[in-house]
Formats: sequence, C-alpha cells, structure tokens
Amino acid sequence: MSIKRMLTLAASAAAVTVLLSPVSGASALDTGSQAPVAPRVAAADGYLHVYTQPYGGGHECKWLGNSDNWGTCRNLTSDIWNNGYAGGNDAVDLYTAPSAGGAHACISQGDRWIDTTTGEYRFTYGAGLEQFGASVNNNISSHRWVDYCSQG
Amino acid sequence: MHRWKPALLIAGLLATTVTGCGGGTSAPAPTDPTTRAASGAHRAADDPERTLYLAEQVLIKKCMEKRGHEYWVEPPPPEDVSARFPLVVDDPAWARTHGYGTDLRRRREAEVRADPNRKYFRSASTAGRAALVSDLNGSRPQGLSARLPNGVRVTHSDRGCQAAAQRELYGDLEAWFRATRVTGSLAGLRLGLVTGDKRYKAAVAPWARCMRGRGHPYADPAESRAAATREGRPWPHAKEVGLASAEAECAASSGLSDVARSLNTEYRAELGRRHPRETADLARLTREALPRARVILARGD
Repeated sequence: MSIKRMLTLAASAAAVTVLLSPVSGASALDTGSQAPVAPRVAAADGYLHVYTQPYGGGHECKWLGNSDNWGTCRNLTSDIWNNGYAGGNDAVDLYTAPSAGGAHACISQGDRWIDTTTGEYRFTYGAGLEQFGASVNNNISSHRWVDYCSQG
Repeated sequence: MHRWKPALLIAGLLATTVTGCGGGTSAPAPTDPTTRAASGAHRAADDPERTLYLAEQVLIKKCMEKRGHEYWVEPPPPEDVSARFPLVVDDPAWARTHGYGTDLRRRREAEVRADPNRKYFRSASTAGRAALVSDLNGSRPQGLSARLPNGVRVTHSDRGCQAAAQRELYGDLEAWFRATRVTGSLAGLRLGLVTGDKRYKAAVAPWARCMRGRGHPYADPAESRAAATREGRPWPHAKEVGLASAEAECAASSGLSDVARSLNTEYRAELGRRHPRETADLARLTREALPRARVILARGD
C-alpha cells in the first residue's frame, strides 16, 4: 500500500500514458490527483478510465487512444470503465502484458467493472497465451480499442 | 455503440452462419440506410444481426439528433478473424486470400480513421465531447447491472441514446443487458474449455506433425497465429498466406478442424445449459426484436 502511495506521488505529473495511436492526435493528460471514492462524472470523455482501487478509489489513469504500457496503473487496477464514443473501435481489449501481449479480456462500450477484486474474472481471450485464465485484477498492462467484444 | 455478435444469438435464431469475406464478394443491402461503401456489406441483406444492428443505429441517430448532435449510422463491423476462426483457420480458400486476416484488420483501421462520428467527436471541444458521450452512453455507468459467470459485476447506464434505442428495439432493456453480457462472456470460457479438453489436445498432435512436415514447427494453432500476427512485426503477405494455408490444409487432413467444430458445439450447448435464463432470453429478445427492426429500417428517417 505504501509503495502504491509512493508511486502515485512520484508519478503525479505522468499518471496517464501518452497516446500511442498515430491517429489519436490527443495530448497526454495529467490525472495524478487522487480520485474521490464515489464514481464521478468526468469533465470530458470518450476515455477508457481505470482506477487502482474499486469504486473509483486510488488513483485514476485514462486514455483516449491505445496504450502500450499502463505506467503507474500497470498491474494495479481494480476498476475499469469504458466510456468511449461511437465511431468504429469502441470496445477495449485489456492485455496482461505490455504492447498488447499475452491473454486479454474485453470490455464493451459504456460498461464498467467497478470492482474486479470480487469473484475470479479471468482473461478469457487468447487461449494458449500468457496468463490465459488468470484473474484480471491488478493484472492488466496495456490495451487496444477494438470493434466489438465477442468471439466465435 | 454496441455491436453484439454472441454465438448464441446465431444458434438461437437460425441455423445460418454469418458470412465473412470469403472470395471477396460483397452484397449491398437494399435496406441499408447508409450510402457509404462498407465492409459490413459482406453479410447478406436480410441477415438478422445486420438488421438488428442497423435498426439500433437508426434509433440512436434520431435520438442524438433530437439532442442537437450530428450522428451517422455506423455500418456493422466486419467479422474479425478471431470470430470467424476462433481456434484454427480451416478454410483454405480464405487463407489463400487473407492469411490470418491482417489485411482485413488494416482495412478496418483505415475505415475507422475515416469514420465520421469519430471525426466529429475529435473535432468537438471538451464540453462538446462530454455532451456527446453523456448523450450516447448516459452520464453515469449505472442503472443496468449483470453478474458475469465468474463473479464480476458489470454495470452500464440505463439512460442515454444507446440505452433508449435498445429499450425500444428489445423491449426489456435489463434482460437484454444481462443476456448479452453473460452470453458474451461465455465465448471466451468456451474456448478455454475446448483447448483444455484432452480430445482437442489429442487432435492437435497430428496437426502439429503435419505442420512440422511442411517446415512450420508450431505446437498448436494459437502459436502459429500469434507468430504471424505479432504487433509491430508484420509479415510479408505471402509469408502470412503460406502459413495460414498450411494451417488450413493440415487442419483438414489431421481431423483437427472436425474435432474443434464438434467440441465447440458440445461446449456451447453445455454453457447454454449452465446459463439457461440468459441463453433463452437472448434468443427470445432477438427473435421478438426482428420484426420491429424491419419496420424501423423500412420507414427510414
């Protein structure tokens, strides 16, 4: 817990990964402040929001585009909210390893997994790859916006 | 907006399968309200999923326009290779054209970059974007709730244009949300069950021998696909096609294709039995929505 706090303070100016998608065009945002416990309405949106504690607790990271490495939120998240807008890729593949590596889970547009510490939600995509079948809690490192969330 | 392609939807409604980009043919849909050439036109005009999808889009458009926004009907997205061939590429003709489908993914990325809703959103101010997302998704992701098979509770707003469109199309929004989220999560579970089954593993062995004999030493189809589709290290098209073609031919000659298909069917039925309520709800709600969808598309804007 204290390590997390240190990371939060040290990385407050770079809590959100710079957008890596070449077509995004948006700039990095500072969301290093501690989010309140209650889920709040974001000031702007279209983002994937993630929190290091359930129910919007801990600190928040958010992205308009893709991310190869969740930085201060990497392997630390327990609350995921896809608040993407329409226009093609509005579901999100959540990968266990950086740069879209290993197994992944998928969250649909508008959905929120407000507490992934409960139950045993697993990476259910990518049979045969690293961490397939493992819990997603504190176990996500990167993401990609994709068309939809179902397979086969 | 949401595109739902749950396997149980197809199984529950009709025995038809969604056609992908086989042979490169595409059939323009007379009921399609959008005039943009769309890779979604790969599906037949009267495909139920396409009809439901477009009807929902038309409703969303009307709702967003009432709130003062511009909105363009999204065409149904093309089927991804992971949906068409969840375990092994076993269509040699498709493999010869598309390999593992990276060409289709690149095409899709280009379509997305040119998407008018996306451009409209990105050209809006911060306040404008907030209004667009809030009006489409709802302002808070609460109101609808479903507990997934492995315990995670997923929530979504019951306000906003997407929720309103789904309520009008499917009637019971809460049941629709539960049915789609639960059955959607079963697909990944199913594939894990199939690949973990000893019958599948037994069928992979001759496939791997066949592949090795052709100079492709991969232990299973997940490995071969991962090698050819690694991000940031694209293969030349001919190389990708070569591997996918070998995979498909070996899948047929080794019997892996048949085993994968039958195990998929078996576990799909098993998971459907374990979640009877959501499975039945999905089939019923989509069946009942289809006539409404046709009316919506017929009367146009």
